[in-house]
Amino acid sequence: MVIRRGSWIGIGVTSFCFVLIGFAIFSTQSSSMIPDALFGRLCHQLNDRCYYINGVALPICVRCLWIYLGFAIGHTLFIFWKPESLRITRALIGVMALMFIDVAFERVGFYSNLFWTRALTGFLFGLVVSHFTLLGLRELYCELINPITHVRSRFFSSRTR
Amino acid sequence: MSDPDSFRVEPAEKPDDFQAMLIGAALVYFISIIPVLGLTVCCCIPQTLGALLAVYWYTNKYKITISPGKGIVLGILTALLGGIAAYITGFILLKLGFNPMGDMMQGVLEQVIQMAEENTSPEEAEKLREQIERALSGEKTAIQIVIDLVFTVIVNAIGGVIGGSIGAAVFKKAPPAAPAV
Repeated sequence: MVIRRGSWIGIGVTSFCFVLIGFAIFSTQSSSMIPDALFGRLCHQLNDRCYYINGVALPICVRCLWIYLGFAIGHTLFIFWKPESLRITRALIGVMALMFIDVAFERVGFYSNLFWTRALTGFLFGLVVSHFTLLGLRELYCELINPITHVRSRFFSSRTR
Repeated sequence: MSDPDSFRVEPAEKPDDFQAMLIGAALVYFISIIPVLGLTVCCCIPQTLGALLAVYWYTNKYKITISPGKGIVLGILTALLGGIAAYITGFILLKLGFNPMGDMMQGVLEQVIQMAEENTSPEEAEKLREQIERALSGEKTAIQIVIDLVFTVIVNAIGGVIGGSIGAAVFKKAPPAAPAV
Protein backbone atom coordinates (compact mmCIF):
# COMPACT_ATOMS: atom_id res chain seq x y z
CA MET A 1 0.00 0.00 0.00
CA VAL A 2 1.76 3.13 -1.23
CA ILE A 3 0.43 6.67 -1.14
CA ARG A 4 1.51 8.35 -4.36
CA ARG A 5 1.92 11.96 -5.46
CA GLY A 6 -1.18 14.03 -6.06
CA SER A 7 -3.18 11.96 -3.62
CA TRP A 8 -4.88 15.05 -2.26
CA ILE A 9 -6.75 15.23 -5.59
CA GLY A 10 -8.53 12.01 -4.66
CA ILE A 11 -9.47 13.47 -1.28
CA GLY A 12 -10.60 16.67 -3.05
CA VAL A 13 -12.87 14.81 -5.48
CA THR A 14 -14.26 12.70 -2.62
CA SER A 15 -15.06 15.86 -0.66
CA PHE A 16 -16.63 17.47 -3.75
CA CYS A 17 -18.91 14.44 -4.25
CA PHE A 18 -19.96 14.43 -0.60
CA VAL A 19 -20.66 18.18 -0.82
CA LEU A 20 -22.85 17.53 -3.89
CA ILE A 21 -24.74 14.75 -2.08
CA GLY A 22 -25.14 16.93 1.01
CA PHE A 23 -26.31 19.84 -1.13
CA ALA A 24 -28.90 17.59 -2.79
CA ILE A 25 -30.15 16.33 0.59
CA PHE A 26 -30.35 19.73 2.24
CA SER A 27 -31.94 21.34 -0.82
CA THR A 28 -35.12 19.39 -0.03
CA GLN A 29 -35.56 21.72 2.94
CA SER A 30 -35.18 24.86 0.83
CA SER A 31 -37.33 26.48 -1.86
CA SER A 32 -34.32 27.85 -3.79
CA MET A 33 -34.20 27.17 -7.54
CA ILE A 34 -30.39 26.84 -7.54
CA PRO A 35 -30.26 23.09 -6.68
CA ASP A 36 -32.76 22.36 -9.45
CA ALA A 37 -30.80 24.52 -11.89
CA LEU A 38 -27.58 22.67 -11.06
CA PHE A 39 -28.86 19.11 -10.77
CA GLY A 40 -31.30 19.59 -13.66
CA ARG A 41 -28.26 19.59 -15.95
CA LEU A 42 -26.89 16.42 -14.41
CA CYS A 43 -30.03 14.34 -13.99
CA HIS A 44 -33.53 13.87 -15.42
CA GLN A 45 -35.00 14.41 -11.90
CA LEU A 46 -38.03 12.18 -12.54
CA ASN A 47 -39.85 12.04 -9.20
CA ASP A 48 -40.68 8.33 -9.34
CA ARG A 49 -36.97 7.54 -9.59
CA CYS A 50 -35.83 9.65 -6.65
CA TYR A 51 -35.55 9.08 -2.92
CA TYR A 52 -37.86 11.15 -0.76
CA ILE A 53 -36.99 12.98 2.43
CA ASN A 54 -39.94 14.19 4.49
CA GLY A 55 -42.15 13.80 1.45
CA VAL A 56 -39.91 15.90 -0.80
CA ALA A 57 -38.06 14.28 -3.71
CA LEU A 58 -34.29 14.71 -3.91
CA PRO A 59 -33.17 16.75 -6.93
CA ILE A 60 -31.14 13.75 -8.20
CA CYS A 61 -32.30 10.27 -9.10
CA VAL A 62 -31.26 7.08 -7.31
CA ARG A 63 -28.70 6.14 -9.95
CA CYS A 64 -27.02 9.55 -9.92
CA LEU A 65 -26.88 9.61 -6.13
CA TRP A 66 -25.16 6.23 -6.05
CA ILE A 67 -22.81 7.21 -8.89
CA TYR A 68 -21.67 10.18 -6.76
CA LEU A 69 -21.28 7.88 -3.77
CA GLY A 70 -19.23 5.45 -5.89
CA PHE A 71 -17.06 8.34 -7.07
CA ALA A 72 -16.61 9.56 -3.53
CA ILE A 73 -15.52 6.18 -2.19
CA GLY A 74 -13.52 5.22 -5.30
CA HIS A 75 -11.40 8.37 -5.35
CA THR A 76 -10.21 7.62 -1.83
CA LEU A 77 -9.97 3.86 -2.29
CA PHE A 78 -7.75 4.06 -5.39
CA ILE A 79 -5.27 6.32 -3.64
CA PHE A 80 -4.22 3.28 -1.62
CA TRP A 81 -5.01 0.45 -4.03
CA LYS A 82 -3.64 0.13 -7.55
CA PRO A 83 -5.45 -2.65 -9.41
CA GLU A 84 -4.02 -4.33 -12.47
CA SER A 85 -4.66 -2.22 -15.59
CA LEU A 86 -6.21 -4.91 -17.79
CA ARG A 87 -8.42 -6.20 -15.00
CA ILE A 88 -9.84 -2.79 -14.11
CA THR A 89 -10.43 -1.96 -17.80
CA ARG A 90 -12.41 -5.20 -18.12
CA ALA A 91 -14.30 -4.30 -14.95
CA LEU A 92 -15.14 -0.91 -16.49
CA ILE A 93 -16.53 -2.51 -19.64
CA GLY A 94 -18.42 -4.99 -17.45
CA VAL A 95 -20.12 -2.36 -15.27
CA MET A 96 -20.99 -0.27 -18.33
CA ALA A 97 -22.58 -3.33 -19.90
CA LEU A 98 -24.41 -4.07 -16.64
CA MET A 99 -25.85 -0.56 -16.54
CA PHE A 100 -26.88 -0.76 -20.19
CA ILE A 101 -28.57 -4.12 -19.56
CA ASP A 102 -30.40 -2.66 -16.54
CA VAL A 103 -31.73 0.25 -18.62
CA ALA A 104 -32.63 -2.05 -21.54
CA PHE A 105 -34.43 -4.60 -19.33
CA GLU A 106 -36.48 -1.87 -17.75
CA ARG A 107 -37.37 -0.38 -21.14
CA VAL A 108 -38.35 -3.77 -22.52
CA GLY A 109 -40.46 -4.45 -19.43
CA PHE A 110 -38.65 -7.37 -17.78
CA TYR A 111 -39.03 -5.43 -14.57
CA SER A 112 -40.33 -2.04 -13.57
CA ASN A 113 -38.76 0.72 -11.54
CA LEU A 114 -36.31 -1.18 -9.27
CA PHE A 115 -34.31 1.09 -7.01
CA TRP A 116 -31.78 -1.54 -5.96
CA THR A 117 -30.65 -2.32 -9.53
CA ARG A 118 -30.22 1.38 -10.24
CA ALA A 119 -28.32 1.86 -6.99
CA LEU A 120 -26.06 -1.14 -7.56
CA THR A 121 -25.20 -0.41 -11.19
CA GLY A 122 -24.71 3.31 -10.44
CA PHE A 123 -22.46 2.65 -7.47
CA LEU A 124 -20.30 0.11 -9.34
CA PHE A 125 -19.99 2.47 -12.32
CA GLY A 126 -18.93 5.39 -10.11
CA LEU A 127 -16.49 3.20 -8.20
CA VAL A 128 -14.72 1.76 -11.25
CA VAL A 129 -14.66 4.98 -13.30
CA SER A 130 -13.08 6.82 -10.38
CA HIS A 131 -9.89 4.75 -10.89
CA PHE A 132 -9.47 6.22 -14.39
CA THR A 133 -10.43 9.79 -13.49
CA LEU A 134 -8.05 9.71 -10.54
CA LEU A 135 -5.22 8.46 -12.78
CA GLY A 136 -5.82 11.26 -15.28
CA LEU A 137 -6.30 14.04 -12.75
CA ARG A 138 -3.14 12.96 -10.94
CA GLU A 139 -1.18 12.97 -14.17
CA LEU A 140 -2.48 16.46 -14.98
CA TYR A 141 -1.45 17.60 -11.52
CA CYS A 142 2.06 16.25 -11.96
CA GLU A 143 2.40 17.82 -15.42
CA LEU A 144 0.83 21.20 -14.71
CA ILE A 145 1.21 21.97 -11.03
CA ASN A 146 4.52 20.37 -10.15
CA PRO A 147 6.64 22.46 -12.57
CA ILE A 148 5.17 25.62 -11.04
CA THR A 149 5.97 24.56 -7.47
CA HIS A 150 9.40 23.41 -8.62
CA VAL A 151 10.19 26.82 -10.17
CA ARG A 152 8.79 28.59 -7.11
CA SER A 153 10.88 26.54 -4.69
CA ARG A 154 14.01 27.14 -6.79
CA PHE A 155 13.26 30.88 -6.84
CA PHE A 156 12.89 31.05 -3.07
CA SER A 157 15.93 28.88 -2.40
CA SER A 158 18.09 31.12 -4.64
CA ARG A 159 16.88 34.22 -2.76
CA THR A 160 17.68 32.78 0.63
CA ARG A 161 21.15 31.70 -0.40
CA MET B 1 30.36 6.91 -38.03
CA SER B 2 26.65 6.75 -38.66
CA ASP B 3 24.37 9.61 -37.78
CA PRO B 4 21.92 8.43 -35.08
CA ASP B 5 19.32 10.92 -36.30
CA SER B 6 19.15 9.21 -39.67
CA PHE B 7 17.35 6.25 -38.02
CA ARG B 8 14.67 8.41 -36.44
CA VAL B 9 11.23 7.68 -37.89
CA GLU B 10 9.13 10.81 -38.34
CA PRO B 11 5.38 10.28 -38.13
CA ALA B 12 3.65 10.71 -41.47
CA GLU B 13 1.19 13.15 -39.97
CA LYS B 14 1.58 15.20 -36.81
CA PRO B 15 -1.30 14.37 -34.46
CA ASP B 16 -3.80 17.19 -34.44
CA ASP B 17 -6.48 16.92 -31.77
CA PHE B 18 -8.58 19.84 -32.98
CA GLN B 19 -10.43 17.80 -35.60
CA ALA B 20 -11.28 15.11 -33.02
CA MET B 21 -12.39 17.85 -30.65
CA LEU B 22 -14.71 19.34 -33.26
CA ILE B 23 -16.28 15.98 -34.09
CA GLY B 24 -16.88 15.18 -30.42
CA ALA B 25 -18.20 18.69 -29.79
CA ALA B 26 -20.62 18.32 -32.69
CA LEU B 27 -22.07 15.21 -31.03
CA VAL B 28 -22.39 17.03 -27.67
CA TYR B 29 -24.00 19.96 -29.46
CA PHE B 30 -26.59 17.92 -31.35
CA ILE B 31 -27.55 15.73 -28.39
CA SER B 32 -27.85 18.79 -26.15
CA ILE B 33 -29.76 20.92 -28.64
CA ILE B 34 -32.35 18.38 -29.81
CA PRO B 35 -35.17 18.76 -27.28
CA VAL B 36 -36.38 15.14 -27.19
CA LEU B 37 -32.86 13.76 -26.79
CA GLY B 38 -32.06 16.44 -24.23
CA LEU B 39 -35.05 15.33 -22.19
CA THR B 40 -34.29 11.62 -22.20
CA VAL B 41 -30.51 11.64 -22.11
CA CYS B 42 -29.08 12.72 -18.79
CA CYS B 43 -26.30 12.13 -16.26
CA CYS B 44 -23.67 13.95 -18.35
CA ILE B 45 -24.25 11.42 -21.13
CA PRO B 46 -23.99 13.91 -24.05
CA GLN B 47 -20.68 15.24 -22.72
CA THR B 48 -19.37 11.77 -21.91
CA LEU B 49 -20.32 10.41 -25.35
CA GLY B 50 -18.80 13.44 -27.09
CA ALA B 51 -15.55 13.07 -25.16
CA LEU B 52 -15.47 9.32 -25.90
CA LEU B 53 -15.98 9.99 -29.61
CA ALA B 54 -13.22 12.60 -29.64
CA VAL B 55 -10.73 10.27 -27.94
CA TYR B 56 -11.75 7.36 -30.20
CA TRP B 57 -11.33 9.50 -33.33
CA TYR B 58 -7.96 10.84 -32.18
CA THR B 59 -6.48 7.49 -31.17
CA ASN B 60 -7.91 5.64 -34.15
CA LYS B 61 -6.82 8.17 -36.75
CA TYR B 62 -3.22 8.44 -35.58
CA LYS B 63 -2.98 4.87 -34.20
CA ILE B 64 -1.71 6.08 -30.86
CA THR B 65 -2.39 5.40 -27.21
CA ILE B 66 -2.95 8.47 -25.12
CA SER B 67 -2.45 8.89 -21.40
CA PRO B 68 -5.44 9.43 -19.08
CA GLY B 69 -4.32 13.04 -18.54
CA LYS B 70 -4.30 13.77 -22.27
CA GLY B 71 -7.68 12.03 -22.56
CA ILE B 72 -9.11 14.25 -19.84
CA VAL B 73 -7.81 17.44 -21.48
CA LEU B 74 -9.26 16.37 -24.83
CA GLY B 75 -12.54 15.38 -23.15
CA ILE B 76 -12.94 18.62 -21.21
CA LEU B 77 -12.20 20.81 -24.24
CA THR B 78 -14.60 18.78 -26.41
CA ALA B 79 -17.43 18.90 -23.87
CA LEU B 80 -16.91 22.61 -23.18
CA LEU B 81 -16.89 23.48 -26.88
CA GLY B 82 -20.07 21.54 -27.61
CA GLY B 83 -21.83 22.42 -24.37
CA ILE B 84 -21.24 26.17 -24.52
CA ALA B 85 -22.18 26.27 -28.21
CA ALA B 86 -25.42 24.43 -27.36
CA TYR B 87 -26.10 26.81 -24.48
CA ILE B 88 -25.63 29.88 -26.66
CA THR B 89 -27.79 28.41 -29.44
CA GLY B 90 -30.50 27.49 -26.93
CA PHE B 91 -30.38 30.98 -25.45
CA ILE B 92 -30.76 32.59 -28.88
CA LEU B 93 -33.64 30.25 -29.80
CA LEU B 94 -35.41 31.10 -26.53
CA LYS B 95 -35.02 34.79 -27.29
CA LEU B 96 -36.54 34.19 -30.73
CA GLY B 97 -39.53 32.51 -29.04
CA PHE B 98 -38.69 28.92 -30.04
CA ASN B 99 -39.13 26.78 -26.93
CA PRO B 100 -40.21 23.20 -27.69
CA MET B 101 -38.98 21.94 -24.30
CA GLY B 102 -41.17 24.52 -22.57
CA ASP B 103 -44.22 23.40 -24.57
CA MET B 104 -43.50 19.76 -23.75
CA MET B 105 -43.05 20.49 -20.05
CA GLN B 106 -46.09 22.78 -19.82
CA GLY B 107 -48.49 20.01 -18.75
CA VAL B 108 -46.10 18.55 -16.18
CA LEU B 109 -45.36 21.93 -14.66
CA GLU B 110 -49.07 22.77 -14.45
CA GLN B 111 -49.45 19.62 -12.32
CA VAL B 112 -46.52 20.69 -10.14
CA ILE B 113 -48.13 24.10 -9.60
CA GLN B 114 -51.46 22.47 -8.80
CA MET B 115 -49.80 20.18 -6.24
CA ALA B 116 -47.99 23.16 -4.71
CA GLU B 117 -51.29 25.05 -4.43
CA GLU B 118 -52.84 22.11 -2.60
CA ASN B 119 -49.92 21.37 -0.28
CA THR B 120 -48.29 24.73 0.46
CA SER B 121 -49.35 28.23 1.38
CA PRO B 122 -50.88 30.42 -1.40
CA GLU B 123 -47.87 32.79 -1.28
CA GLU B 124 -45.38 29.98 -1.85
CA ALA B 125 -47.50 28.49 -4.63
CA GLU B 126 -47.72 31.90 -6.31
CA LYS B 127 -43.94 32.33 -5.98
CA LEU B 128 -43.41 28.90 -7.55
CA ARG B 129 -45.82 29.74 -10.37
CA GLU B 130 -43.93 32.98 -11.11
CA GLN B 131 -40.58 31.16 -11.09
CA ILE B 132 -41.84 28.44 -13.44
CA GLU B 133 -43.51 30.90 -15.80
CA ARG B 134 -40.33 32.98 -15.91
CA ALA B 135 -38.27 29.87 -16.61
CA LEU B 136 -40.63 28.77 -19.39
CA SER B 137 -40.75 32.19 -21.01
CA GLY B 138 -36.94 32.24 -21.23
CA GLU B 139 -36.63 35.54 -19.39
CA LYS B 140 -33.38 35.58 -17.46
CA THR B 141 -31.61 38.16 -15.37
CA ALA B 142 -27.89 38.76 -15.78
CA ILE B 143 -27.20 36.82 -12.56
CA GLN B 144 -29.21 33.85 -13.81
CA ILE B 145 -27.28 33.87 -17.07
CA VAL B 146 -23.98 33.90 -15.18
CA ILE B 147 -25.16 31.07 -12.88
CA ASP B 148 -26.35 29.10 -15.92
CA LEU B 149 -23.01 29.56 -17.64
CA VAL B 150 -21.06 28.53 -14.54
CA PHE B 151 -23.21 25.39 -14.17
CA THR B 152 -22.80 24.66 -17.88
CA VAL B 153 -19.03 24.84 -17.53
CA ILE B 154 -19.03 22.65 -14.37
CA VAL B 155 -21.32 19.98 -15.84
CA ASN B 156 -19.48 19.87 -19.16
CA ALA B 157 -16.12 19.65 -17.41
CA ILE B 158 -17.36 16.74 -15.26
CA GLY B 159 -18.69 14.92 -18.34
CA GLY B 160 -15.46 15.62 -20.21
CA VAL B 161 -13.33 14.23 -17.37
CA ILE B 162 -15.39 11.03 -17.23
CA GLY B 163 -15.54 10.53 -21.01
CA GLY B 164 -11.90 11.46 -21.59
CA SER B 165 -10.53 9.16 -18.92
CA ILE B 166 -12.73 6.23 -19.98
CA GLY B 167 -11.80 6.80 -23.63
CA ALA B 168 -8.07 6.87 -22.88
CA ALA B 169 -8.39 3.58 -20.98
CA VAL B 170 -10.57 1.75 -23.48
CA PHE B 171 -9.35 2.98 -26.89
CA LYS B 172 -5.75 1.88 -26.68
CA LYS B 173 -3.73 1.34 -29.84
CA ALA B 174 -0.51 -0.57 -29.94
CA PRO B 175 2.49 1.56 -30.92
CA PRO B 176 3.44 1.17 -34.59
CA ALA B 177 5.80 -1.71 -35.30
CA ALA B 178 9.43 -0.79 -35.92
CA PRO B 179 10.28 -0.78 -39.62
CA ALA B 180 12.20 -3.83 -40.82
CA VAL B 181 15.83 -2.99 -41.60
